[in-house]
Amino acid sequence: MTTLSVPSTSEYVELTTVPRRHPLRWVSAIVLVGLGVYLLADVFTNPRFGWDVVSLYLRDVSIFHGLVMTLVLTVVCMAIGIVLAVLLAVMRLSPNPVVRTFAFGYVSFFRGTPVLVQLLFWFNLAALYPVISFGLPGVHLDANTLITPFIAAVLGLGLNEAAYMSEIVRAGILSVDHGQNEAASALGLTRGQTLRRIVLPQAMRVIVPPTGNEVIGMLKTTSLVSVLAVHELLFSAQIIYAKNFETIPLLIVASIWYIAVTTVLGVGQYYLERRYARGNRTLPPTPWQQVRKFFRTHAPVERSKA
Amino acid sequence: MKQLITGAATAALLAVGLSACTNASTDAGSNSKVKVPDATEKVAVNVDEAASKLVPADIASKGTISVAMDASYPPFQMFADDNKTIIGFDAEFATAVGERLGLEVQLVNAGFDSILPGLAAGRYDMAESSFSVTPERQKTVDFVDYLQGGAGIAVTPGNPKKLSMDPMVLCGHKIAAQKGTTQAIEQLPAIAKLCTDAGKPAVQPELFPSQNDAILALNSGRVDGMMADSTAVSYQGALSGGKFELAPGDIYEARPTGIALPKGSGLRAAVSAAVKSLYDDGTINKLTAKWDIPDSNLSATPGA
Repeated sequence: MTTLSVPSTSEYVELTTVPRRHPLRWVSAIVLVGLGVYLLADVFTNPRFGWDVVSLYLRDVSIFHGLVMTLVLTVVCMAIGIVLAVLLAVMRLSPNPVVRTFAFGYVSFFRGTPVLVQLLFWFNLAALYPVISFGLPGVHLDANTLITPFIAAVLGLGLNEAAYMSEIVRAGILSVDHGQNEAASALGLTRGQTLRRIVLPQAMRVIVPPTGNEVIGMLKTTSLVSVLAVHELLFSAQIIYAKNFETIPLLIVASIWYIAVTTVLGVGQYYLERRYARGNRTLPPTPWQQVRKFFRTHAPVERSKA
Repeated sequence: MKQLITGAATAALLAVGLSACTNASTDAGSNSKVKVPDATEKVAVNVDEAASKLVPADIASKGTISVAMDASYPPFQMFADDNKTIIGFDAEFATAVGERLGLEVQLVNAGFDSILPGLAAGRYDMAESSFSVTPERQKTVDFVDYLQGGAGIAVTPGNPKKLSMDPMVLCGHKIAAQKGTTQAIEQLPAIAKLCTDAGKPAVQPELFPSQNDAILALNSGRVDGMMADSTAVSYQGALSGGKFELAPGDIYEARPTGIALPKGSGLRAAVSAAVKSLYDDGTINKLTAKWDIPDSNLSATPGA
């Protein structure tokens, strides 16, 4: 969308400029709006969806408690995932071949097995290790008391997330030009200092967008832990429909909350991305800025970007 | 600044949405045809000294036992209105067994097919989740009989496919069951064989992770019927407000239902004595009456 700046020489001033017509844009817009209205009307007038039941349970107390648990799980698992991921990514790029191989093995193992299977393994850890001692004398922990369903969920989701996130962090680190490393070491910075002060801040631009994606993914992946009977959002809905058999309306209730939270997270991600992209590229206006521009009367046709 | 506005708007929306929490789940079943009994009105149970002496010393000193059940199987195991407390016949019976032995019972909710592995892993001391006693299960756990049950077929209201609990009638139909149940593991495969032996198309079992998923498949017409314990089917049908009902016909293969204990558990003798004593003094009849369980479910060999 390049705009031609019209030279303001006198012979052009006399000409009437007519905007180019775009009939197909109008047609496609009308077709899509029509289709959208039809679908919405159809969904909301179909009594089989049970919208009365949906509205009854949408703000239910136990659904709300489930939502809180889902958010807690998302935050805790992502925190574990991100911290371990940075560690693993740095290990992957280490000059030490043993450290490098270890990190590679971790990522291969956790990415290579389904997270549902991992969750079931952690939950039933006592079948393999009834007593956990970490190989230390005097440590004697009962695996079943130690691994509550919540801990099993956090371990399963957090460790699995670390494997995926570490690849994102690694890509971010590799995206920083090698010259930056050289310049830092020329200035006498150690490897650790270079990483903390030079590389990671610049890597963030590449790391943040897929991390937002991972957070949204994690929010929904927490529903898997319903198999461990952790009272998160989906499980709370399941408990209710186990009694009243309104299965579909309650699944809709859970979905509405998932969409609501992911929408909020999406907005957060949008602004976070813009923050880390400062100075690297010209940013398009935010939707809010676009709306303001749309409603601003006597707006300048197009100001050339300063 | 704009971030602030967006954040504030979102927070405001959420606050409005959540400030008005409702309690619909605590009134669940208001449209149903049965009244869920008040689980807080407990049937009093006293300690049986003779039976409590059989409790192994380590468990007696601990004072509590954990009992696993899948709380999605009314009237045997279900969640109370708070969606946290497990209630139902099995919940109360397990508590009564514990009280008879002078032990405190901690009820733990678990997915049905994770219960027996959990028992073997030592996660739970005992499990009571309407387990039919089968030779396969007896290989991994010990049982104490406390009820008996037979299968029935759940159908959509009015029984449009004219099904009944007769293997020959089920031939060629799609029948749902919860995976891990006796119906899924033994009875449907056995019926399929009866069908093919009689030269009829075999019954097509469709297995689902939970009882609810099986019922949903029935309601959406994916299957023609659902096979489960007949008492549970008729109770749940009434609880759902008539979304499904028990098809006619006698119960299929009545067999003992057992309390599961880890293989070789020292607790078995004590639990067996407690179950016998709950049958002898009539406590069992108070509990079955409270949870609408017919006398046909009473065990012929309690404690065996």
